[in-house]
Amino acid sequence: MKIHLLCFVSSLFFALGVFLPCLEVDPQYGSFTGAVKILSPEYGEKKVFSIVSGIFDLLSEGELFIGFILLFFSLVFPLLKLSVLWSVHASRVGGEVPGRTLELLSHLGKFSMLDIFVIALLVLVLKGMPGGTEVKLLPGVVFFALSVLLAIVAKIKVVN
Amino acid sequence: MNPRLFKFLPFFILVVVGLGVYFANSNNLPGFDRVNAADRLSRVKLGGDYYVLVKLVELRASQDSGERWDSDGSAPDLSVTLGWRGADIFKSSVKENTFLAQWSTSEVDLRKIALSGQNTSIDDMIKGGRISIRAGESITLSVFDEDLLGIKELAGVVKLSTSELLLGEQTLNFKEGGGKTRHS
Repeated sequence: MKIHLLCFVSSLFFALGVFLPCLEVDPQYGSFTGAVKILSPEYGEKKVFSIVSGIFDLLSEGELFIGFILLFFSLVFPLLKLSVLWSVHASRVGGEVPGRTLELLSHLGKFSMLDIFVIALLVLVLKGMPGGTEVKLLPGVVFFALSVLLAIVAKIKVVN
Repeated sequence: MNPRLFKFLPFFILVVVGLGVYFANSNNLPGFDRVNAADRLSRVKLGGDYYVLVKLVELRASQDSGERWDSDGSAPDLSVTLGWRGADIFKSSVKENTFLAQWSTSEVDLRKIALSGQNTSIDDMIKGGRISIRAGESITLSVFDEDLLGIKELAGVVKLSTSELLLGEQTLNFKEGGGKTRHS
């Protein structure tokens, strides 16, 4: 596959990954689930999160540390990585030698799965919730993961 | 296209997709609808069965006319009745001598269970009225001040369309009587 197409699809999947729903949390309270759903229906409702809405929610609730960690590793960092990837590709297309940009891409590549790791950690934490609470992965995660994998393939092709 | 502009493509795609998702779901951006549930309560569904629970009623120090609630100057003895389809479906206990009456939304009558030897269920424990949602129907929430002789005086009443009820805790203001009440 052509490099620019890989970069484009990776960028598109990244955008879809951050905006489309990625997690659905169905809160359960063990044997008290029925009672909670009757007495406080709002606590029994399924919640759907996208990466952007999750970050927005964390920051608005004052969870600044984890909010900014997620903002950096799942939004800013992958965006920066894709931008550098495009930049290196553009240099190659323009017949230039992408010296410093290529070096930067090489450094960023070392953290290439960190964004996926953050999502995986989040799912693990949620899976461990008591009371039988269920967490479902939605298409956002698939797009996000595919975006990271395509970016890795594109990076390998660009570097070589 | 100038290859130097390529580096801005991921940002451009992100903005375009973000706007696309936003306009495709203008009133319901994925993930935002439920995340902010505390701020935006969801409406009940037609055909669904729900409990209406009165948690707290607060009255002003005096009636609209300026008269005190009780002639001896004491605070009112408050009770709440929930009416639906022309009948009272729930009557609360009387909270004496208070401007701020609070009821538990669930109670277990241990004495009754011990004496009768019967089982109890969550439905028995819930202190509220159960309604089903049909279009065009309403419920009536009436607050009474009971005097020493047991005569109930209406302190305030509010009529709510059942199909417009919201899930979760809400605060309602009486048009008559000047007090306010919260229910969920």
